[in-house]
Amino acid sequence: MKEWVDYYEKTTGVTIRPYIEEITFASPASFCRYLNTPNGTPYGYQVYKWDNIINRLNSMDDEQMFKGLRLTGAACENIDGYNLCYLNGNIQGRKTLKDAEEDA
Amino acid sequence: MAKKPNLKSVNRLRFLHNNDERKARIEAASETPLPMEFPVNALSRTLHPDRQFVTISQIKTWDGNCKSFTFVPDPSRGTTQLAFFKAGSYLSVFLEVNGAKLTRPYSISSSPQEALEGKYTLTIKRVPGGIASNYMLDNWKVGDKVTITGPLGEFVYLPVRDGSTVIGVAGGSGITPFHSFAKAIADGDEDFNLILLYGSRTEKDILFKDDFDALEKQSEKIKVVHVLSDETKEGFEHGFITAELIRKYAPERDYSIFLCGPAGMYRFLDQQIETLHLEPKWVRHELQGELHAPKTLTDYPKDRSVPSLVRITVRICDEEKTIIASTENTILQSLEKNGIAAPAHCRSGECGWCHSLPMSGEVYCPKQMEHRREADLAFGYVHPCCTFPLTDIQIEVPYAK
Repeated sequence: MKEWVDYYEKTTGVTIRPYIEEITFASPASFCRYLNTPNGTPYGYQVYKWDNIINRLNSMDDEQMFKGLRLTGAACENIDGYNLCYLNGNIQGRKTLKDAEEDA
Repeated sequence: MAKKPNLKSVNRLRFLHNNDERKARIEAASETPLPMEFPVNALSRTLHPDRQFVTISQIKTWDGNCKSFTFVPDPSRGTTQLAFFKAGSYLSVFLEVNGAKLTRPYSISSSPQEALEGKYTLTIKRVPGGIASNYMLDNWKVGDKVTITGPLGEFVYLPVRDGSTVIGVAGGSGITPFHSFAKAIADGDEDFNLILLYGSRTEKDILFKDDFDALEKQSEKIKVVHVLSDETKEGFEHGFITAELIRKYAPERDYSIFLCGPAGMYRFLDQQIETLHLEPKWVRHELQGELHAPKTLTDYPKDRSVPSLVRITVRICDEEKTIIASTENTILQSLEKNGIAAPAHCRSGECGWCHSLPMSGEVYCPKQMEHRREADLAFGYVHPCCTFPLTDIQIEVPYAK
């Protein structure tokens, strides 16, 4: 922690240390402690240029494994995040209704 | 100068090419299942276990009202090593006493190095009328199995925040975290100067005296000043710890004051420390634990009639139970007395572990225990460990794992 504050002060030229009242340092182990994500990745998975929100959304229908089975949550197309999970749930809900209409 | 990236500079074709790469990688992927365990997750469980299962290996009796209990891992229940900690941390002890499911926080008085050697020591003083301390002092024996949490708490030294010298002010069993600090300095796990002002009634009431004498010889960064209130002796200060005494021993600048002791000591010293004109960031208090006798507090609502007994309907997951509770007890105390295990650690309103939502009724939280966030205040969340019922209430409490 001290090294990071020293590095910040040296890089920016701004002195912050005398004004620090409280400070918390979060590491991957901190994310594991509270979220139990794999290796403490903040978004729950390792992001690659071929595996990110845009690629996942683009491939959503092609990658559906079983007809009628839709998966939703932080590990799905819209990836991790509170609002993104809600959005994913909304999208999958609409698609499920559409699946049901088509079957009817 | 390079152009700043913006949305218009994003090459959308690259995403389509990435789709082809994505398909190819998925089709070529190995059949080997993903790992069930990741190294950083395993490290996190080692550093921050929810539970540690230990056995009492040694008991040192200071007097009839104070004992030090040393714990070692209990491999038969799954704990093979103890979690490392920063000096100043505490452990919560789980107890079941006459049907009441309790937790109590105690500062670790042993050193972080000793945790690596497989030992924690907690030093516990009897609280008159207290359920937990009396049970532990009168019943615990070597070989008994105990369940504790991992190390917790914020009463630790941070070099980027605190002064290079810490004036430790301790009263009674408040000495316990400073014993850990001093040992950590001597072991090289902490690097700051500790000037400890330790208040006791008489010399025979001093805890860890031999240890502190040895630690002072071992490290020039440690100085201990014993302050006796009821005895005058050469080599000891006499009276109470005051601003004048702090000024006598503190360096001119760059020092923090860490306080740990009873409520009365905090009330007196907070007034004394004001005369030193230090910014608040340089003064840290260890949490006090539970408040009792709420109706004696100055901000208790005295302009209304509060019954002595109320009904608390508590919902934990899908289960609901109604209990009769005294308005002299916190909501947490009432739940525990009725055999309801509610999550709790600091019991001082700070850690948020017991964060709960009252659905009806009125409650009182003493100002001195008010550590809730603005969002908690806005949405009505409370910390039952420091909140007292004023009327019948319904409350949703998290499940205690």
